[in-house]
Amino acid sequence: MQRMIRMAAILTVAAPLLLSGCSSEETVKDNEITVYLYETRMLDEFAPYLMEAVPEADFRFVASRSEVDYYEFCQQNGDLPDIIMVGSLPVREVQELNSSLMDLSKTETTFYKACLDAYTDSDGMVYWLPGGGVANGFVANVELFEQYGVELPTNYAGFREACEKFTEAGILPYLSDYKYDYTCLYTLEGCSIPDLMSLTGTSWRLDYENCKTDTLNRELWTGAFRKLEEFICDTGLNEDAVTRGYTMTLNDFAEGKVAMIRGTAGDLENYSQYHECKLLPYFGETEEDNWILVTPAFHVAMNKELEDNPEKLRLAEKVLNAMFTAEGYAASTDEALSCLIPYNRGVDVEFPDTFSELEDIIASNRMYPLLTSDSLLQAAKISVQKMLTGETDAEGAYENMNSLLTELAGEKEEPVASMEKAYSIDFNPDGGSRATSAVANTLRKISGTELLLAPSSICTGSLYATDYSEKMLEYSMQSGGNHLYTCEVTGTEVLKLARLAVEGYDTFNDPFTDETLPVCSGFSMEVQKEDGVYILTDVAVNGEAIREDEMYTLTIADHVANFTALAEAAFGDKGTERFSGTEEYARTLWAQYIAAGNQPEKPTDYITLKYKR
Amino acid sequence: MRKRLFHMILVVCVLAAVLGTGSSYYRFVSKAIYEESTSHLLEIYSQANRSLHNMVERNWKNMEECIPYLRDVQDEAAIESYIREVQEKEGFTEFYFISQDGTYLTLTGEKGYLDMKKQLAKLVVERKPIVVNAVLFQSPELIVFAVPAEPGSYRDFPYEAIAISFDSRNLMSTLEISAFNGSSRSYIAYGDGRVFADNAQDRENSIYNFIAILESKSDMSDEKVDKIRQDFQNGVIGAASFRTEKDEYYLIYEPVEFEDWMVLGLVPTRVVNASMNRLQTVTLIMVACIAVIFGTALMAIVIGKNRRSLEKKDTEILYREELFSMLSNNVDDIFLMLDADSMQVSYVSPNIEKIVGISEAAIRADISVLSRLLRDQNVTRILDELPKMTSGQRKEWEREYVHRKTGATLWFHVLAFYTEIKNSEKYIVVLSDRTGERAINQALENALEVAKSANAAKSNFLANISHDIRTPMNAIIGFAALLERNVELPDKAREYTRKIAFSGRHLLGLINDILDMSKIESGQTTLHITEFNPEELLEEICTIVIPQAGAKDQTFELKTGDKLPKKLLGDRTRLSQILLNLLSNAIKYTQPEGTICLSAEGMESAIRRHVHLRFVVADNGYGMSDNFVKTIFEPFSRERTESTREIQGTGLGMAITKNIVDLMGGTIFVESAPGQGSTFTVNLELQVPEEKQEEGTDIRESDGGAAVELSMKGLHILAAEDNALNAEILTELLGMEGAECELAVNGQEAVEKFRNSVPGEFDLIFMDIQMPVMDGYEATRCIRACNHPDAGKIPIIAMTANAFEEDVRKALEAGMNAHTAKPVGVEKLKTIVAKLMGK
Repeated sequence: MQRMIRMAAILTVAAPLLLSGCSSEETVKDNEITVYLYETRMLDEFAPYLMEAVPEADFRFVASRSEVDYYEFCQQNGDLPDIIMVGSLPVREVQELNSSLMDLSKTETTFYKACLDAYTDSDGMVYWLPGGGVANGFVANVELFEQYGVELPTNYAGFREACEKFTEAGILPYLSDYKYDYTCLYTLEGCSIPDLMSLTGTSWRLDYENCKTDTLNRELWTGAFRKLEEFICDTGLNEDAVTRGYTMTLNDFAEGKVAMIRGTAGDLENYSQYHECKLLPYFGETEEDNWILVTPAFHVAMNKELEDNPEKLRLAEKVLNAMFTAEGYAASTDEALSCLIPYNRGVDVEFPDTFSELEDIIASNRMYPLLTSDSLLQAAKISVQKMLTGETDAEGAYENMNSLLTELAGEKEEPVASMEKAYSIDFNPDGGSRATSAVANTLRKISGTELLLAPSSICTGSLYATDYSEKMLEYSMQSGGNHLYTCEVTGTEVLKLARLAVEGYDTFNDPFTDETLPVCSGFSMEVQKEDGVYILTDVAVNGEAIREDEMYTLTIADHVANFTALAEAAFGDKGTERFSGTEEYARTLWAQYIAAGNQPEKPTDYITLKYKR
Repeated sequence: MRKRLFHMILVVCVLAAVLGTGSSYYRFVSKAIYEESTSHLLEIYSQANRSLHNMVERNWKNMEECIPYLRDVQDEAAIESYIREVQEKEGFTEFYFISQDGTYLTLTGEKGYLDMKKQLAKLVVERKPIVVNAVLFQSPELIVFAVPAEPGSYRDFPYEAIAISFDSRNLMSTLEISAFNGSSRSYIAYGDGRVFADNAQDRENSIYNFIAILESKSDMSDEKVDKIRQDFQNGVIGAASFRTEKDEYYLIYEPVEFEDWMVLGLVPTRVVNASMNRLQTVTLIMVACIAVIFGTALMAIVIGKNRRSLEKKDTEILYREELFSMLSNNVDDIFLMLDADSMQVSYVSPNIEKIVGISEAAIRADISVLSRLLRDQNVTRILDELPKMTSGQRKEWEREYVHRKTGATLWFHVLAFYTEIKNSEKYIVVLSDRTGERAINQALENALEVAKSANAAKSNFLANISHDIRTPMNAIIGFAALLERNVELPDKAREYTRKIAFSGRHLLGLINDILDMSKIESGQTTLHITEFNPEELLEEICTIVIPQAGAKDQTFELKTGDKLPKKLLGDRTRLSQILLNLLSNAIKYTQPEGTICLSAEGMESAIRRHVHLRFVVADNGYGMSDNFVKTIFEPFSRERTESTREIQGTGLGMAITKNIVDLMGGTIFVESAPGQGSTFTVNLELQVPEEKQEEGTDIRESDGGAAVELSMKGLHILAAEDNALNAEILTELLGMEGAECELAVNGQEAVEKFRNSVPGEFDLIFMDIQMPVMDGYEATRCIRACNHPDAGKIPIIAMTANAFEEDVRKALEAGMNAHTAKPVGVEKLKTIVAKLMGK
């Protein structure tokens, strides 16, 4: 008996110790929160803000994609992160993904109920929370208006009149990057907001969003195309617009060739560096019919698996709440909060002067939430472009779009490649990220250089051993205008570039966590971390210290803006001139390479990170 | 054990009953509190619900009442004024004219858009009043009440509905519950759980979906949440309670009777149940106290009882232990308990060292030391036999041991038991010391042998004595018969009388010897130590012996040493008896003309103030064989040879002599050979008296002492004698001496005769001792005590059958003056009378 009592006493004492040991191990993982950011830009301020707002969380930031279907792909491979950020949210197309997401109506919220109603499904569940609304309209070069004595329009008639006057003055009244699908869709909807917000429009929209209908309302959308047709005519848009991209458009605006371009509140900062600008609404018949097209800056969802780990869930909810504070908005928008329309209580806004034309509109709640989806974007792009090229009229464009929607609804993307091996995006201090290294090595092979340097955000997530469609191949890499820039450099210059990449050159590429350290191929880096600061201590080629006098061919794979900043930081103002860049996006080259039957290059150990206490 | 188990079970049952009762009571009270509280809350929130309903109805009604006015009045200013009046009265924040597409126009002409989503179609298409949430940029959340209106126009704004808005917080003030110190929360929720409005004042975070919150943040089970979800969807009134990390709440919900709204009330239970909780707590405490007291009392009783029982058992155990300890220490049994497996000693009684000389420690160290004490090492060892026993078996052995220290032989009866104690098998061995019993048995056996021998000796004696007694008796009777026939022949008469007297004397000597022997063997013989002169003693002996020797023409010689003291302390009579016996035998067993020599010498003694006397009686007579020499001192020992078979004797003389010598602490031995005579040597240590030693005044007769001649002529003697023959003989003998004898047949008569006599009538009294009615001692005491003038001085002489010292003492103590043994001889009487009468 005595022996049983002794055993029971031992177990009573030992069990908590053993379990505490287990639980301690669990605690280490409980605070690891993986956040997939929808833009690389989010690494600049938003990610550091979250780290500061929730210091007990051990964050893993991945600058990933903004497309919902990318996360569906991750979901299919069982690799959803804890927190997902996407840009636009095609309500009709997230049903499958929603099944892996947590019902956020279970959390207390600062959101206005009316705002969340739009994200509540028929079962009362809320899977996505919207970031602040970004106003879309027309960015007007006020200087040109003043220069040519044109009044800023207050309704469509005024807009038309302004267009006529600018056309007469030889100034393009309006131009935009109709190369992109979103510009096509924004313009299509923007021109018809009053109709789309009518009873007919809202009723159809409810049915469409709830998948009760897959087709466009004829009356509504033929009217929309007609208004677009009128718009195209009034603004003088032609087939040239179809070839325009963002940069070209920006350049024309900067050069004062265009009076108005389509833009967002976020674009104002960019454009304002060239001219005094204001954001104008989409004009209606009267001022009371002017509307702003609003897109949420981002959408956030949480992985349902978080519910299995209460401690982790608690942290994740804390991160989520931090995203929707005034500071969170400010950090996420990369510009003054004043450009963001909050959906949350307690977030006060003071509009800047650039918003002066929109205040009344905003105050009167004339903010049209963009209806978007991949299929709408694709269909709108084709239909609108055809109108711009004169191929179709309004009626034809409607028919075209309607049929495309039907086609695209049933369309499934076929795989074009099959990866044999999976590589994780997780960063290892001894070696780096396997997925990122595989992409970098592959890009280097594509570029044919000896060395390659790229930001970690070049890779948007893990590579899976599965079939890839063309879209998913592209989604494996950074969005935006990332190209391959090559040149010959000395070893010293390689060192300089690597040092800048590791230690920062004042872009959102600057590393602030281990996984945001740059990736390289063809050489390896030794980095020391002390008090949160990264210092490049060594660069080696084939295991030997790089020879400073030797010449190497080098590729930098990055977004144009970041590349420019890096090149100029390394080589001066004309640093970019030493490089030749690819026309195609790096992601396109990557996708084509893999689709051609190639496998990603094997990852290599490109970095050794040492922690100095 | 069973009782203890029973008590434990009882205590457990009582505790379980108490806990169960307490638990049941707690649950009952909690349920009662819950039902009471929720009922109370339902009542409160019903009122709030009615208030809300009334408010909504009133708002709708107010707006509907506006419609005719708006239809009929075209003046915008009047309309505005009218609406403002209503606004002031009803407190709404804004009035809206709603177009078909949801855009609005305020009274002041502000346009905007109220996103009513699917409610818009209900309002403008289905023409039903609605209530919706709305939010305008940087404004508090609104609750908009809208009713369809007749299509109209205000400020050229076509409208199809009108609406009023309230700040949702102000609206929720109608649901504010003043009770509960403002800790209550009120919600309006849709059927799917989405919260339409709540009265959260300064909180940043609010609940979006109440049911989802219940699922994720409360401890409510999935089943209960589903039930609430069902109730919401079906518009069923209900109540529940749940706990979150922060607090425990009552939830009250009831339908609002329009839309699918539910009014929810959330109140912390501690607030609602404040007083009830106190009551419950106090009640529980009281019940708990009572239960504790009861339980304590019960436990105290049980414990007390158990303690007493334990104490009693402890006392019993103590008694048993003490008893066992006393027994084991004091009895002659050794108790051992051995472990059956290891043969280790579990217990050994402490008396083992006393009994067998081995210490407890030695036994505990090695039990086999006991076996080494066996006298016979070849006998089976008990330790070897024990393992052969089966459980419950008992075995016995007898063993002889040797005391380790004293070497004494010990007999033990060994008893072994094989038993089980608390799952442990033990041998219990009891060694009972039977040495004493064995000795007793042996003694009894010896005594039996002695008794048998004595019996045989008795038989032998009787056989012998019968012959020895019959012989002189035959002579007495025969010669008496011859005398009777020849009484007229004086010579023959004298011859026959002489022979009768001789045989009588012989018979008397035989009887005396037998009595002496009996007395000596019964230990009744005591020595009468007086001072005497050994030379005088020897002279007296010679006077007796010489004639006897002369009769057989034997030569008797006396030799004395120079160192023979003049005075010695000793029993003169017994010493005479010794010497006379030896000389008598010497005379008997020496042929005529033989030689008999008595030598006596004194020597130095190792004992202070003592003299070693040696007496030697030697003769050249027939002698004795070696075999007879060995048995000469045994009773009735007589050698029957050709020479001696005619010699008369009791066979007791030498046995008596030996006993007397032993009594005196001396030694006697004999050297003899057939035909060469015998030499008896007696050694005695006698004390030499001190100068002032008093002489004993013994007037008792002695066997060799000289008598004083006295004539008894003329004496008047009173004789008490119950035996008629003895009385006749006495009377005849006294008559022959010229004395007159008056007889009394018993002591009583003797006393009466004496009392009745005149003083001087009687000269002396002869008193027999053993008489009926009154014995001689008592008669003597009576005579001495009576008032007769001669009572104190008349001589009284005791006549007893025995001449033991005891008889003499008793006689003297009774008041008698002298003592004589029967048969009474005249000469003896004369001597005694002479001494007493002083003549």
